[in-house]
Amino acid sequence: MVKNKGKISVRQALTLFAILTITPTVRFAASSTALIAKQAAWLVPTVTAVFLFLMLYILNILLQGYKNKSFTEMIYDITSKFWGNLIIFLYLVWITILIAFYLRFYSERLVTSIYPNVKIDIFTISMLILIGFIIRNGIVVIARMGEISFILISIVILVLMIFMIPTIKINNLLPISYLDIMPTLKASFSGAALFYVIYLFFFAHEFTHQEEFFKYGKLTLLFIWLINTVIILASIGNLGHAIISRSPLSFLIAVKQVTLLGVVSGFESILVATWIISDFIMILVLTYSVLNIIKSLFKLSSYNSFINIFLVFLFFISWILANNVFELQTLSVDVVVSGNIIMQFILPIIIVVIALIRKKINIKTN
Amino acid sequence: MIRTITLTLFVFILYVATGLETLVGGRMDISDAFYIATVGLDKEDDEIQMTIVTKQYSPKEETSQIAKQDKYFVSVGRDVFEAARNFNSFMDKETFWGHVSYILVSENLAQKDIDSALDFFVRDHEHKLTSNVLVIKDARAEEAIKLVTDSGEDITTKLKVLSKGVGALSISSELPLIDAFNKINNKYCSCYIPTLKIVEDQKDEPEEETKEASNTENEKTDEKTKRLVLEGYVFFDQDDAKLLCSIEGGTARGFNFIINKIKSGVIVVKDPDGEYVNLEIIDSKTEIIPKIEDDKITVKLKTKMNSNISEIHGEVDIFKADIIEGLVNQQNDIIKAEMQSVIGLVKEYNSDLFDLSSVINHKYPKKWDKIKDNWREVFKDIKFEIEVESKINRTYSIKKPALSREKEKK
Repeated sequence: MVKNKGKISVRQALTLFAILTITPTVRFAASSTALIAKQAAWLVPTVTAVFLFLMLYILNILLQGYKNKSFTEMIYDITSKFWGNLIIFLYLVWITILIAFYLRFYSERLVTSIYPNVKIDIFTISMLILIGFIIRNGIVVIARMGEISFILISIVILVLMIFMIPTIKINNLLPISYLDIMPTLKASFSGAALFYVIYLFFFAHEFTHQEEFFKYGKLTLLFIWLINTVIILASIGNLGHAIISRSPLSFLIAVKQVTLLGVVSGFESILVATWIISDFIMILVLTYSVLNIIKSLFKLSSYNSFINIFLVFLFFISWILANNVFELQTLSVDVVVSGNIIMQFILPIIIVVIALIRKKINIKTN
Repeated sequence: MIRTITLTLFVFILYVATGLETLVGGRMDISDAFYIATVGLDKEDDEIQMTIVTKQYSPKEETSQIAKQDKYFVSVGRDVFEAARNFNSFMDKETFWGHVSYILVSENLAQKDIDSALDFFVRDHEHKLTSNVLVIKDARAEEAIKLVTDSGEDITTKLKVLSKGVGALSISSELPLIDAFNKINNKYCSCYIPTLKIVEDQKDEPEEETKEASNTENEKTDEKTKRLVLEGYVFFDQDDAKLLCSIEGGTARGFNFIINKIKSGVIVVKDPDGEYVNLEIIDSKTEIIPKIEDDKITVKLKTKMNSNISEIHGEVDIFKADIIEGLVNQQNDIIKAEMQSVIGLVKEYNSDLFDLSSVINHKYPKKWDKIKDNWREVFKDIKFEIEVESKINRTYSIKKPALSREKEKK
């Protein structure tokens, strides 16, 4: 017990990863896939899951080869000091941009969906204050919050789905033919951009039971596939791909349609509340990753003194990113998806290949 | 702990220092809001006139007197949003749009601007997408609202009752806002919206001696002879969303047969003596079956329908195989004629009124991919065929007509 004090299990870490995918999934999974794959968009998560499974396998090789080591330690060991610093610095910059991006999107979403006349600073600052408080308690508290949030979010999405079933029109989800193969493959690119698990590797030294990574990873993938599929099915099945591909908050407008017994409506407020929880966990976890990178990069014993500075820095970056929500949406489609693919797939694969060539790890370790 | 207390104090001081201003606006007291239930849109020269009917919720709402206090307000603006905002310049309460159940658009406005008339209601965050859309035919939306509200009735309740009852005749239906918007967005098929019209009740010509006496009374009740009727549809062009045509009566029911929106209805046929037999539609299902051969498209509309005998006027015992068959044939012909009148419109306007494009896309996705860009050209060469298979299944509590026994004695 003492040995594992201050650490979280791999299962808890993967639960956090599952929550990390909720926010972008609810926001843009349906609209981005519907834009390319149209009525066949609900098949995209299945194609994406195949890629993610392969990536999970590759990351498992890395993790099993470097037990109780963070991703920064792995990079330093696999590459040289210069390249290591460069790669870690790239991750530092990218994850910081990503947090600022999600911070801004969280505030913009509240203003777009519920509070149009409120300054977004209020939401941004209140989120940052909360993050500043919680993050000092360490990863164990974050993981426990994640577990509770995971159950809550899953129940909400499941209940909303049940309410939406009667209004799903099968015609909106068909036809499926060989003409949909290429669009589905293309659309799976944006879905793969949600594979944030590598960002959690920056505190992999705080994981226990690392040998169970692949086992729980598969279960997490199953959850992500299910959530993605049902969200796209419900959105397109209800409103058709034409409307969904045009909406910046596609799942939200699908939920807005839900009425229970023809009387009770307004379920979108429950979705927005759930969304805020997943936003909070996402920003919290990614901030924790960045602080760990800073700690490793600058060889610090603790990152506590950096927390406030970093959060203030995040506030300004979130403002600099875009002038308005339209720029933010363009940034999401044109930059963030591609950036995530590079940082989550291409760079880790290169690192693993180098590690295999330099015999730092081997496939048998798995 | 010290840090928590310090921060809480700091936030509290900040809050007090701002004069206890509400940081997050948008909060509205129930008693300070007008809940809009029905919206009417008219074209007023180059501007939009908006009429709103509100229902005030309060603890006293349960009393019938308060419940009848529906109010309507009129505002004008360059567009729908401006007209909506202009209410705030004279209304003594804030408007809340989240409870809008019906959006009534006048035919005049719908002629050219149905897309922009509905845009605000789909785009704005406060609106629900399940509100029903109706086009007021040959009248202004304000007139329809005034007609009902001035008579002390609640227009929203009235429209709900009409919508519920429309299934008994199946000559119209309900269309949620999001479905209307989805259809307007679809460039391959025409958008339809149910219509509401104001009709004047026919009055019998009074006897000479009573004419004079009733004159004064008639003048007083003249306004009450008008009523709202939910009947028929208007169609909008698939290219530019301009009003294309309207249908009602049998044609509207024919359209409902094709799009499978038949709930019930009455079909009147004649027995061998020429007396009426009323049939009640129980259910109906139409299959749209496209066939592509040598690049030529033929579409078969195959309708299967069941009915029951609900009223017999004559004396003949109609429950014999040959007579029933005759009634079924008449029933088939009536349904076929109603559906054929819709096909006539389809050909006349060369417009896909019942979303045939979607049926072809589902059955022949590969072929559809090739013809979709040229759909309207392809559409005009499509041949339609109607096939109706109906059944008369039963009658209810009694079988033979009332007078048939006496006839047997003779």
